[in-house]
Parts: sequence; C-alpha cells; structure tokens
Amino acid sequence: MKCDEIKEQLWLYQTGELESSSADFIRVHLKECGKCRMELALLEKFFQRLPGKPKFSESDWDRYTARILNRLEERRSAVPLGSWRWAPAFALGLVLVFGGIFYRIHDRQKSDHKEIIARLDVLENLDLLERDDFEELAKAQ
Amino acid sequence: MQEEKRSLEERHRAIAALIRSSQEGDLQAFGELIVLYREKAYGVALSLLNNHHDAEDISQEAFIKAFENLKSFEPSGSFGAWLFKIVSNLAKNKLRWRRIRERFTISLDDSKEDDEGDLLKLQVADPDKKVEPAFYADQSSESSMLMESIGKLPERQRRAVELKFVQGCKLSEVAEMMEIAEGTVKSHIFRALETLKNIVDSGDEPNEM
Repeated sequence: MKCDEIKEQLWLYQTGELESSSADFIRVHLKECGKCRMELALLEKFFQRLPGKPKFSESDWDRYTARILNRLEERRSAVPLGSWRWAPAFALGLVLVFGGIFYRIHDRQKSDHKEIIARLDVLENLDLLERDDFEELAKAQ
Repeated sequence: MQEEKRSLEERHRAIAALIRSSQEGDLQAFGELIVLYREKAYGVALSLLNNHHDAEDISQEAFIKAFENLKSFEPSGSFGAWLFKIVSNLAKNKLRWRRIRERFTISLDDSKEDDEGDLLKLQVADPDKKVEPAFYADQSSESSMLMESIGKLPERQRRAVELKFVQGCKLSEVAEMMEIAEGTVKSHIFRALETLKNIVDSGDEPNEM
C-alpha cells in the first residue's frame, strides 16, 4: 500500500474503524514512514480540537422524551371525529338543520296565506265584487 | 468478536419487539424507542438545521409522526433509517420555510424609515447562520474556530463530519442518516479532513467555499 492509500485510511485507523488486518498493516507502515506519522499527528491535533457533543444533560433528555409522550397521550385522549361519542351532537345538529328548514318552509307558507287573505280583503273593500253594482250598470246601458 | 455479534443480534431483537409493541399502541415501548434513537434523531436535525431549538422541535415532531405512522413501517427494514428519513423531510421543509421567511422579513419599524419614506422595508437575513459554538460542550477558542471552519465546508462534507465526529455516530449510521453509501461518506470525510487538517496546521481559517 502506498502512502496516499494509507493517508485515505488514517482517520479510520484513528477512530478504530478499520479491520484488524488493515490496522496492523498501517501500524507497521507508520513505524517506517515519517511522512505518514506527521499526517497522523495532524489528525490527532484535529480530533483534540473537536468540541464534544452538544450539551444535553440527562434531565434535558428526560424532558425531551416526556414532551413527546405527553403530546402523544393528548392526541390519543382527543375524541376522534369518527367516534360514536359524537353521535348525540351529530343527531342534535341534524335536528337543528332539518328543523330550521321545516320552520322556514312553514313560515313562508303562512306568510303567503296571510298575503292572499290581505289582498282579498282589499278587493272586498273596493266593492268590485258586489253583484248589485253590475246589475245597475247593466240597466243603465 | 462473536460476543459482539451476539449482543448486536440481541439489540436488534429487542428493538423489533419494541417496534411491535409500539405498533399496537404501547406508549411505554415507544418511550424506550425514543430513548434509543433521540440523540441520533436530534443529531440529524441539527446537522441540517444548525439551530438547537429547531432541531429539538423537528426531531420531537418526527417521533410523533413516526408513532402515528408506525403501522406503515415494514419490520424487516431499519427503524433508524425510516425515522431519520422522517426527520430529514421535516427538517428540509422547515429549512425551506425558514429561507423564505428570512429572505423577506418585513420590518414595520417606522423609526428606521429610510430617506424615501418607505415604511415597509425588506430585510435580507443571513441564510448561513450557524449554531453558536457556545452550544457545544468544549468552548475553547480553538474548538470554536474549528466549528466555524466545519460550518464553511460544502454541505455534504459538513454534515458527514458533524455526524461522525461531533455527534459520534458510526460510519454505517452516518450513511443511513445521509441516505448515501458508506464509501461516499468516507470520501466526503476524507476530503473534509484534508481541508480541516490544513486549517489546524496553519491556524488559519479557510477561504469561503
């Protein structure tokens, strides 16, 4: 293996993610090659400067988990739309809607009757339907 | 080696059992799944969003979505990959909205009225806002500088480096989280390390990439 190939695998060697045979090979190579040793030293410097994981304490994580579970619990206890527990409310809604429609139709019919009766009253008051008037008019002609 | 393999198999079996119970609506079992995957799910969100609060919200939302859609999960598949996909999708949506909002933030502050008397002023926000280095465990100036340099790497290299070295994920997990092959992760990391090693060596910051 050439130095370039070793260089590509050095970080895997450093993190212990190489197969043991490859790691052994690199270990031997490093003993002999100053250039690759320098590369490894640079990598070590990089790893030392890396910051740790984001700061999350165990209680932060517990809160994190509890928040998810609480939200799931809330959603579960919310009554689903298809549940039979909505049936009375649905029935009441139907009664109100159909009752409203029936009331409107009935109310309109009632007001139409009132209007017809009112018109007949006017005609009667005008005396246009009095039979005597027609007879007198006929005699005059 | 064989012992390691056996414990890995046991872990897989335990996870499969937790998934089955969760699919039947067992919240306690799902709670255990959350404990197993929360750090990684959060890490995936953070690597995409670069914001602690958004990463926390999005990863939590992903767990809720996962629970609600758990029946559609195929037990033969990897739960981690499935969950991380949900996290990624939610995070990408969030990013899209954040970019739209950040680019066109309308300021109604009339005290800052400009010369032409415009009350409505379009502000262009910085879309490359990164996580504050103070958020990480090590707050030394060298670490802060290194994190800043990592933040300037090309997107895929940056994500691979953050997931591998900051979050401490395994190579296979990074590949799963980024939805790419392990070989591709290795090459992203190698190229990123080439840039970062030079920075560590010279103590200089890289030019904008």
